[in-house]
Amino acid sequence: MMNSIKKPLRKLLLVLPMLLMLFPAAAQPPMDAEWKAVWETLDDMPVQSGGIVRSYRTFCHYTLAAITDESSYKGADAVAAITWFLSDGERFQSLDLMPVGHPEIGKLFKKKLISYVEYYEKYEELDQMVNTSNEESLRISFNRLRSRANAFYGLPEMLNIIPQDSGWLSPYEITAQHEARHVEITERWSALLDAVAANDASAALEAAVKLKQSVTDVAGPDAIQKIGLDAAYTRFQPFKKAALFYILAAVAYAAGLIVSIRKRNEVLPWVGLGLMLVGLVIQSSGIGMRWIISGRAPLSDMYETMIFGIAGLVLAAAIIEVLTRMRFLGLICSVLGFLFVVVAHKHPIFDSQIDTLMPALQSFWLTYHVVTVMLSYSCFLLSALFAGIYLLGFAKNKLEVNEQVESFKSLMIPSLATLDTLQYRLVAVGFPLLTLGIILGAVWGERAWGRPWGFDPKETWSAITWMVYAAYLHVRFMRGWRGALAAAVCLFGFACVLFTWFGVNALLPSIHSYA
Amino acid sequence: MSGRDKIKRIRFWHQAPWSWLFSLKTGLVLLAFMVIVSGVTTFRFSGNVPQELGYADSAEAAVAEVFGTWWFVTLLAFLALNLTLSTIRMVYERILHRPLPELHSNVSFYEGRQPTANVACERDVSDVAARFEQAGYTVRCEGAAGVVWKGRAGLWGAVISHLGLVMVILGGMLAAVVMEAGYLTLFEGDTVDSIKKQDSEEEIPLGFDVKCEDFFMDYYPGTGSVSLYRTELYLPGLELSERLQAVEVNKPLTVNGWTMYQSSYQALPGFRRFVVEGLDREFEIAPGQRRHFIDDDKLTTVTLGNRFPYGWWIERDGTETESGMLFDPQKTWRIRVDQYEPDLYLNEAGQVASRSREPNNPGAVVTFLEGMQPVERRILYMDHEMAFKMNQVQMNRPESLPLMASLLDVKNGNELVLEVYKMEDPPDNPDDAKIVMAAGQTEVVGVASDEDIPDGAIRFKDFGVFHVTHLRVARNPVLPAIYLGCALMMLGLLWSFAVPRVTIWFWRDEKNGRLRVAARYRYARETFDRRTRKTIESLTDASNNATAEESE
Repeated sequence: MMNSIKKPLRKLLLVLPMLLMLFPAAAQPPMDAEWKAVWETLDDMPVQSGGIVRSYRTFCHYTLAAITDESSYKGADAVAAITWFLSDGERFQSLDLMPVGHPEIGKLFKKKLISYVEYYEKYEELDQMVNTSNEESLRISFNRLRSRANAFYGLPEMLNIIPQDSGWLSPYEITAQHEARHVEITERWSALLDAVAANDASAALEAAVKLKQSVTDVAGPDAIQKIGLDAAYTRFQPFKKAALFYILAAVAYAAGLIVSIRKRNEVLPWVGLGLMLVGLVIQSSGIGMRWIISGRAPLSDMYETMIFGIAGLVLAAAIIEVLTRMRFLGLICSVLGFLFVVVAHKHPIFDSQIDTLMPALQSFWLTYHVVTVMLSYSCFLLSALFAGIYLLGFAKNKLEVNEQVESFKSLMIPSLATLDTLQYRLVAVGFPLLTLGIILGAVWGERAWGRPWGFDPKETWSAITWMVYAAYLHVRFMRGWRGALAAAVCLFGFACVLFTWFGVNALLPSIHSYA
Repeated sequence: MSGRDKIKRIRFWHQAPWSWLFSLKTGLVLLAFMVIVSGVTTFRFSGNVPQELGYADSAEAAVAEVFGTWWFVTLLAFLALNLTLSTIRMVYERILHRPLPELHSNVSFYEGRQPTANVACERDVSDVAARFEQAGYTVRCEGAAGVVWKGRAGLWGAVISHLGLVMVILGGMLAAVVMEAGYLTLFEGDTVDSIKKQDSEEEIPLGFDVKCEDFFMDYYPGTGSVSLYRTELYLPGLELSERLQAVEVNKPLTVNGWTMYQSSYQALPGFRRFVVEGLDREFEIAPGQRRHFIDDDKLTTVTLGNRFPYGWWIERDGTETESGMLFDPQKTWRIRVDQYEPDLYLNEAGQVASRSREPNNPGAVVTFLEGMQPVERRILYMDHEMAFKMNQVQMNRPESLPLMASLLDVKNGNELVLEVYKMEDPPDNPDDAKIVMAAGQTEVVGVASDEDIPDGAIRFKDFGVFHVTHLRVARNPVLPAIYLGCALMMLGLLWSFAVPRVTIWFWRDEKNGRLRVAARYRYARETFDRRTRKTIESLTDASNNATAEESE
């Protein structure tokens, strides 16, 4: 075998191990079985962060993401990475962790990942570069880099593991004059970091057990009752798992449709539906976990409403598919479910962390208002899908409503008439829900701000959406519009939904900008 | 000539110029116009435009420039009128005087509809009609053809929802005229009996006194995020048990028809306010303020003097029962380290922050206190002496007490070595003036007297921040009508969408003995509903027929 390898390559294969011995492997957090026990022990240690008592795992997960944009570091999970970082401050400052984000910033540093030391050394230069540039994307990247640096720099002070009545303290704030139990936690934290630095797993495990015991003892049972669930939620990442099932479902659906071109296949679409429902169950359980952990309906920001809306969409799609056997719907909705979850976790405007509620949102109206509005949005999204498919078929064949597009048959898409009816029925469900959602929002607005309607951009656009769908229903009832015209109005209505949901937040600042 | 044609001929609303006023088409055109105007308005008054035009925000600008203008209000009124008239027309034409569905006895009608059926049937048309009547349909049957229908009552849903919308529009317009609204700006301890209209100096009398007893706010632990803010009010005109009330965001308070909403607040750090313990509670009180408590249906009033050392006295049901002093006038001098930053700089917001964890420019923010009362706040930099001449700041004592303070060193990352002494009495040994402190700690630095705070019913605990609270106050008598309109809209929509509406035509073709059936549903369908399908099957199946006849 070796003889078949060309001579220079053979030489390289012999030299390579020697070269590797000259350059020791890059330092990284230990992740063998012994160390895993240490990190798992720390998983559900309480930390106060952002006004909420969370698990150490959640704290590490979001802190690592804030610094590196990743949920792991060199194969080590967030708990291992963050603890290892803190065990050696000097090394931590020199690690290339922060993505620069913008090519211009990359040019300045001559790389895409930089360390805090590099950031600090070139801060003035970077600041000047951004101030002399008119490029908005550069400014945004700079601000994001600054946020990463702040998360990096603030990490020791954010590690609030020392419970007290008001804000918890970080071990880095404790002096000998503090209470003995606080000093004890600090000493145990130091012991843990020393053991990590010395790569002594058994000492680290002992320190971790003692540390967690001290913290939980001081915190008391009330503060830590949801910590286990919080750690499990962060570890399990239910929405990402659901997205995985959605994409698997999409593959099964697609395979079923491809196979059905030659001979009708019902097995693969049923597999697709099953996978999509498993994804929905996981997503619903994630919403439930989030609800229990936060103690409120998880509907307070764009991330949470998006996740809820996806669940509504998939549920409605599954019901319609079971009733109509319209397999193409399952394919589209499982792809959409996957894409929306990915966007919700990747786009910077979405924050997946459970946050505290501002006083204006602390109301039971939040649940009723947002649930009704999001369910209506799910109906409108599906109706827009049907309208879109209808228009595709119509544009392709210029057919009448009652005709069947031949090429649709193989994709198990029903006739244009059924598409038209389904689209209308979904609007007929979504419209009363939207009306109710707007009314509930008005009642809530009156309770919170003293006026039911204020012509805030979000309110105005919700009224616009309502008027467009009202017009849609009336042109169907009164003018008998069906087919392509009705589908076009339906699509326009959904464009208004999208603008109300996302566009207003991005383009028109208002008191609803968090929603 | 159909019944509808007869109506068209005899009713004035089918003739110009009334026809467009009674037509929902006009309403649709108005809706389309409003969609465009509303969309354009949100873009026109976004960004910095409202501020440039002198408005607080985009909503205020949009109302002032578009939604509250005479032409938009006229459009709304016209929409309401059009909705009302077209609804009246709908009631008259489609409910009260709706012609019966027409009969169809030709093949082309049945073949052109969906769903449709063509089955062998030996029964005559009256039997078929009887079967549908049993199924809950209203029947019209003549000769070989018949028609059955149900769900016409669903049209009332449309009527109710349209009238509900009219109520909402008219209610909103009326509210703009009759609603009284304004703002209350209340310092803690202030009493007022009127509100100020927004953007105007005009005052509207409330008819009762409102006193801000306290403003309370809480933060999510360890953050600067507000979790709660609440204004506690004292309303002397009410029954004793109702005098103390609170207003929070999402929890408004209604008194004599006026509803008060928590709007915003401000902290006024330049003013003094004390957190005190006593009367089985902890509360805040400002110099010169009276606080009211109601215990066991008795009014208890605590009054604090307005000058240092702040005398206090308690009245129960108008009789003074106890009194005392909050501070000892000869109390100690203290220094408190509020903040330590190793690489201190002032950020864009002018706040003290640190560039890094390296001790490049150690600095501490310290507060000097007389007794427990803060009198001066300064930043100490390493090796930079800072003299405090106490008589230069707001003091309630005549003599001067200059202090010298400096930050000498930082040990173990966060232990500050400070040197503080009276300028008139520097220590012989410099070490005597050294104090080691961490952020958050308070130490005695100059001693006039070390006596404790005198005991009493009221004891000083901490310093509080003086607040001013902003409440929106409104009286909107139309609000119930608007909500009723909303409820009607929802009721109408649910009624309209939930009531199934279906018309079924049938005709027995005597030539071939086959029964033709066609249906029209509210939602287009390709197949008959289950019940109709069973009815049709029962008409074609002899055994089922027999069973049905037996059961009858």
